[in-house]
Amino acid sequence: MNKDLNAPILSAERAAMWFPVRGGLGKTTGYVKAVDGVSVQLHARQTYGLVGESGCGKSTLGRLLCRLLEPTDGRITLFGQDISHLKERELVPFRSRIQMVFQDPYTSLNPRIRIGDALMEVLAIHHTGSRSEQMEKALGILDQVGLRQEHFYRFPHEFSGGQRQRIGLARALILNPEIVLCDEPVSALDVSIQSQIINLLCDLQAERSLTYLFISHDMSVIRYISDRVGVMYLGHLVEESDTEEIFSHPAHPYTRMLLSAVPSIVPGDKTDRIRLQGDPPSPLDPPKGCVFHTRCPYAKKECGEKSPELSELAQGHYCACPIAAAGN
Amino acid sequence: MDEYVLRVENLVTEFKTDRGPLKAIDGVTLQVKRGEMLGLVGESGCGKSVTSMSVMRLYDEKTTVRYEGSVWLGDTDLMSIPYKKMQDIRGREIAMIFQDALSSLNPVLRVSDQIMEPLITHQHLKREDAYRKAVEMLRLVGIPSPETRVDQYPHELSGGMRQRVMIAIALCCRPRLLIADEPTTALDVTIQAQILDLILDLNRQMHMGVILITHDLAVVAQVCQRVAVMYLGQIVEEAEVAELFNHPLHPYTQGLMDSIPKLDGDSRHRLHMIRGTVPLLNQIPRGCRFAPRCPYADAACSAAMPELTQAGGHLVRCRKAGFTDKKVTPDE
Repeated sequence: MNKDLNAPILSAERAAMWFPVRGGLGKTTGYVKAVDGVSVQLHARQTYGLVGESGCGKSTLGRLLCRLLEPTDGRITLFGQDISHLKERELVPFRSRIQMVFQDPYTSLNPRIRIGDALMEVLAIHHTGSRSEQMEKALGILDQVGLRQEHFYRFPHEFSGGQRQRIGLARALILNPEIVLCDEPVSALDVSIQSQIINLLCDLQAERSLTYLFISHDMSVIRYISDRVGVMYLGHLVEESDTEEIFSHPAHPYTRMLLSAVPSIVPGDKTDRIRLQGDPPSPLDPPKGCVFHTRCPYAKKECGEKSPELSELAQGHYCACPIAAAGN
Repeated sequence: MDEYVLRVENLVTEFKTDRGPLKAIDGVTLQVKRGEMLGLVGESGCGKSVTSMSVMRLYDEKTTVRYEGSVWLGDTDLMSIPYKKMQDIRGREIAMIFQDALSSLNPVLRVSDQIMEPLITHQHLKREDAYRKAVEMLRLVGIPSPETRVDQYPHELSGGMRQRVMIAIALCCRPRLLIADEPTTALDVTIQAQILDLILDLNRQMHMGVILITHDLAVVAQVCQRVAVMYLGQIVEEAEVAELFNHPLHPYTQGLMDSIPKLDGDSRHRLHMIRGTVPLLNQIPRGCRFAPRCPYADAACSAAMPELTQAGGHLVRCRKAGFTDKKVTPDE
């Protein structure tokens, strides 16, 4: 379908999602600009890692990309087709090719539906095969995510957190999607279980040539799993680059601070931390100009006036900071 | 420096359930010195929070729990004093901060009232004096414009600020021991770094003992002096921080450290996995509790429970600890 091999299979162009805030009498009093003019591109078989603190809009961007939300502005392109404003019905054929895994495996499964039925329901919605074929497929996918066939008849409460996340993954993969959006899939898990799920994700990607959008707040997990990384702050993409490049040469002051705030497992390390003062501002009333300038130690006067554009620092390394671009 | 603030000896906490008693903690022994920060780490369900709740005697002793062992705060055994007496200890001698600051603060009381409460109960301060002290405490924990913040309600503060308020409440009576139960887990990394710095700072200033409970090994590596690793209600390894992180002896500690993706490590090799999952408390394995998941275990490991023994500057609960130090590639 894609003639151009370098064309992204999923992309957002200046996508924006503004949620209206309603005051008394249902009047719109303002907007939460959860995502404000973000462009990203996902290439086939790659993992794009989206990282940022809570409230930065990374999950909203994920939901925009798979059109669980309709963008206020901008364009979402999936397999070369503009899907920004398609209706629910028109989206159905796309849904089987792009699936999602959520953070909380405790609330994303219906407690009253057996695992097997939850898996077969997906197939029934997309009218794939007879009932016995569906069952066969469901049993097959359980095996692939490291569960056993007898788990087919069990209820969600009988599983541990790690197993539930495997079920979430099975449900996403049963339709043979090409793209899987993983929204904090390992954040609720203990470290020993987290590594099992990350390894499983990597194995499945290799076996099925999957493309991942991996959303996380954990820099070490992002570094491990991603090919390309985007850093978000208050609805804006502030830096984007290949994984190695961004972790060895972080350019944006926010990325640098985020990296230096991550505690290291080596005792006595990180004594020269750069400290980030204060809290992120409210997305209801974001600062004018560069959204980060209120907390940025390098901020100059003009940072509060003009919103910076992404500029290319090195091959494929984009950063939205004029001061970093000038080489400081 | 060898003055212990807290000595926990062979603490057992047993919950009464419909299906018989469940031992959530089985023989935990710990010491915290003055001015020391002890890290207590482990995965969910290992009993780290139960340990702290038991030290404070916060469970209902009539209906739900049975304790054994002793908890020495100076010369007093907290386990043998009358339950009512504990109220004088909590908040004054031992203070605690929890993970979720929003649900630990009272949403209908102003910040000032919540900081003043322990000052009035324990130190019998007058309201005006307590109010002044509250503002002072907020300034100490680094809240900007404390004069206005003190009259606000918890919902008007950000997550980081709420946790600062919790710390202010905990420290206003200058306790000898602070128990911080996952104080930064709900916070973003940049705010986490701020809060950890604050706890570290206050620990140095006030010279109190701190028990930092967390599931995050890296947090412990950054701020603690000593660390105890828990697994299924027992301490499996304890050592100085540098010692433990550089030469972990227990297979569980080793497994935990290997399974974390590192910020500066090689990201092309597979992550180490500890096989299986943590067993339920009513299915505790015989012998060494980690044996069913341990790559080095043999028949003898499952026969008898290993004791916590001294080995190379560590306390470690593993009969093979000496051998497993050499990195053998474990079978998957």
